[in-house]
Amino acid sequence: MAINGTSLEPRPRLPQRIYGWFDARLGITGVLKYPMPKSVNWSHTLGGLTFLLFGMQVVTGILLALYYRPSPGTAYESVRYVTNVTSYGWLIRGLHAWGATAMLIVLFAHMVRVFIYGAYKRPREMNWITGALLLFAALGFGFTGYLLPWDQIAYWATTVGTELTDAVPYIGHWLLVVMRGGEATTGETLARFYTAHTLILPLLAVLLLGVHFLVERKLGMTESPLEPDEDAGSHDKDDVSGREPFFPNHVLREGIGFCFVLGVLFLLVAFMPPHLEAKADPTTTPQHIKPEWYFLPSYQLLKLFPSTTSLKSVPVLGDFFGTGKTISVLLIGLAALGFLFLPFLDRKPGRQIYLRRGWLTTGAVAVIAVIGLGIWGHHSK
Amino acid sequence: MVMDDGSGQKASKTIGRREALANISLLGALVVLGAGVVNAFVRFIYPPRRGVQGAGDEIEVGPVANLAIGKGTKFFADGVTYWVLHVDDGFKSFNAKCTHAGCIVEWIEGSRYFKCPCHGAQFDANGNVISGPAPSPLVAAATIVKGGKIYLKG
Repeated sequence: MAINGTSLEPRPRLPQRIYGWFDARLGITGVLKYPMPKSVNWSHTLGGLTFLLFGMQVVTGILLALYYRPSPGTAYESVRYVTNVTSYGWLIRGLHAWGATAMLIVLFAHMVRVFIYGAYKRPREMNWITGALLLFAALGFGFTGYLLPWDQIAYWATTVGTELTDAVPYIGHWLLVVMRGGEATTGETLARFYTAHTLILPLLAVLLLGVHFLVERKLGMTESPLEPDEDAGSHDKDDVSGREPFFPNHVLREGIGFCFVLGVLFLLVAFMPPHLEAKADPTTTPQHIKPEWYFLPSYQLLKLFPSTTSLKSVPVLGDFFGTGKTISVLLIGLAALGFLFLPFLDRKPGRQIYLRRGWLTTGAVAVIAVIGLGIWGHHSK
Repeated sequence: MVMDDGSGQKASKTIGRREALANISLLGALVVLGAGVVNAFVRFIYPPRRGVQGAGDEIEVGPVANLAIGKGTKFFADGVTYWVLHVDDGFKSFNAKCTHAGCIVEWIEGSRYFKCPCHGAQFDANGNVISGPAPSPLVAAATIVKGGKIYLKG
């Protein structure tokens, strides 16, 4: 209402005016009030939880980097110093170590949910691909971070893990040398892994996350494939009727989930703190060295094939199928490519469960096989 | 070439020879520049070979008298772990790296064979595979005995 051209509305308070200034330029309200799908539930928090855990890894990682010194003569000692001498160092290191495990579990679960929902189908191919690349980046974080304490298990798990790249046909040895910074696992390897862990992978992850979120906001979240009125496309993100806003409803749900995960992490750090074995010794390999749990399936797959095959002396074919190591590396590579390009393998429209029995069965078999190989690898000698 | 002029009507635009040549030249220059940058980058990340000992140098392991028949000793030089053995037919040396997954094999004195602690590959005193997943024998190193001392040839 206005009298003589003068508004009688009270002038907004300063915080509201500041918010309004930013909102007009950044569209904050649009992000906060973003309508969630009708079928929104707790499984939709998995992606956000992964992001929150990634944030926790960044914060704890920065704190650890204040003390960590990446050279063979100092790395082990600096990790021991952080753990035993600095205030709350045991907690920060423990949260970083267990946080990696938690992030990967939640990320796996998120991708399983996305797969079941068929949320990788057109037009969301880029969301799946960036998500799959983020999963690879997370595995890269795990692999490169594992070496940093420079203890026996770290050194030898890395040596065995990087040795696998030697089995890649034609370029394997080049890759191995580039990855290690030489023929053997040395201080050069530590410097390269530290660089990858703290610079290359975080930068890559942030770029991928940016694209992942942009596409997600552009296309909207997917409705449940069990919804009766579900169609092949997304829910209409402009139709807000009967839908929860992202904030505060869904943010609260994610916050509760994060608090729960954080509680579990605190308990794990308190009762099962990460170990620090003896300092790395390049001349002695400990008995039955094993990688971190998320690499156990590939570790076990490696053991399933014979050391050499009858094709070893056959030209070209022998380069690809001559040794069990090469065969398993190629299988892992193929599985990774299939996973990455899933949207182009399953191109049929329609996300309802009954339309996708074949792919859902394939996915279930793949997940059971991976978990089975992991458990087998854990118990094998 | 037919192009949309923005008004919805198709307008034709012909690229002249000079413009086409300029485009091709620009593209070529960018490709050459890009290839040069990639080449420099790839060469940079591949580390130069380095080591205290040069190739072909003799590395002293120790006195012959310290290594009785049947015994073996581990020796570390230039980032490589070696096993030096004294067997019935003389002294032998091997790169201790298992050819399967790169773990360091251990010499089992009583039974006179190498065993890998990672996946159980076994090698005889000549480095040949006895059992397990190793695809090839241990890599032998030249061993020289002179003046009562054992040397490895790097």
